[in-house]
Amino acid sequence: MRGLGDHDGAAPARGTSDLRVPVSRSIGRTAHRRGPSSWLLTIVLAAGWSAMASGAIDLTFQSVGGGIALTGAGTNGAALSFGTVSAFEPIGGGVTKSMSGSSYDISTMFGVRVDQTPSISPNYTLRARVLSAQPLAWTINDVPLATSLKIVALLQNYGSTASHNIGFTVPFSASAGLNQVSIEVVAVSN
Amino acid sequence: MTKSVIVSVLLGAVLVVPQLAMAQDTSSGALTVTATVDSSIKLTFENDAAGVSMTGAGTNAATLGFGTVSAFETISTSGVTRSVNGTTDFTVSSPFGVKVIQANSASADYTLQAALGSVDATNTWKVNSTTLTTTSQTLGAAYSYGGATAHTVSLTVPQSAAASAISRTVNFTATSN
Repeated sequence: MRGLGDHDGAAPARGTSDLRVPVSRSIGRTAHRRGPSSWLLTIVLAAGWSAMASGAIDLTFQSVGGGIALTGAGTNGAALSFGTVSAFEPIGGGVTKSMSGSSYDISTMFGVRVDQTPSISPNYTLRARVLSAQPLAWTINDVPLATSLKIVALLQNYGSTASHNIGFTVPFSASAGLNQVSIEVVAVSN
Repeated sequence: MTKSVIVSVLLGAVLVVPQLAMAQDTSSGALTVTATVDSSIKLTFENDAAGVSMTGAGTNAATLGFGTVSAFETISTSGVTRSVNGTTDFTVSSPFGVKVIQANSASADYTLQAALGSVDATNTWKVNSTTLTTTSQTLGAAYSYGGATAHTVSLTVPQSAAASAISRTVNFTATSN
């Protein structure tokens, strides 16, 4: 018969009892707390930046000093009349004539003004064309005009009247009579 | 996690900004231009190789100088022809050219007229065979455009006239036919 204290690891013989105490082991871990996301405001800003920049421009014709006075100046539909021209007779005021061997050139000045609202584009390009084929050769700023748009002026400033030269060449062989041409002038923002 | 999400979205916004498109605006106008081309002609005086060299040749205002002339002395001006009519008078003459060009005209030819600018009661002036007065006289009615047409101006001086300087303006008019 064994007394108390005698223990060799084996199951106790009947008649005795062991007391087991659970032990808790710590290894240094720290607990993490996750906060709310903060990306919503940034997306709103990105949406705001995606808007397209746009404005409006307005072209009008103007009379200029030294040129023929326009009918309808201040609007986008004006008329310019050279009157009667010939190779050897005097010409009217505001008109310039230059002779060559078998033709002569007639020209004058006119103005174009383009306004912009709001102010977005730094300047504009001016283009022009004749609306139908012509028997005489027409030019603006020495650029021959055709039925397709041609650039006649670059880097034009808004808000002020720019002077342009318009002219035509008359061969001596051309018939006498009335010449009328419709010219489309287009300003394109840069 | 939160910090890395914010950074990536901001980069996206910065990259998007430069790529925003500027809409091109246009504005047009219509300019109606008119011009009436009229026909016209131009007259100029031209030197003739056999005549007196004119001052102002090539223009419509020229001067033909006979120089010193007489019935019997040598005439030193080149291009002057002299003929003596007995003891009555003598005539000095020189060819010269008239050129008329046309533009924007369907005219086939022109009429040329001439007139003295003032009366000369002593001497006789002629162009070709036409005696000039202060009234326009027709020299011809079918002269061609483009080239210089030769004419002759002559001055008949009576041998009874006193020696003196003689000068007259002859006005020429070309009219398209």
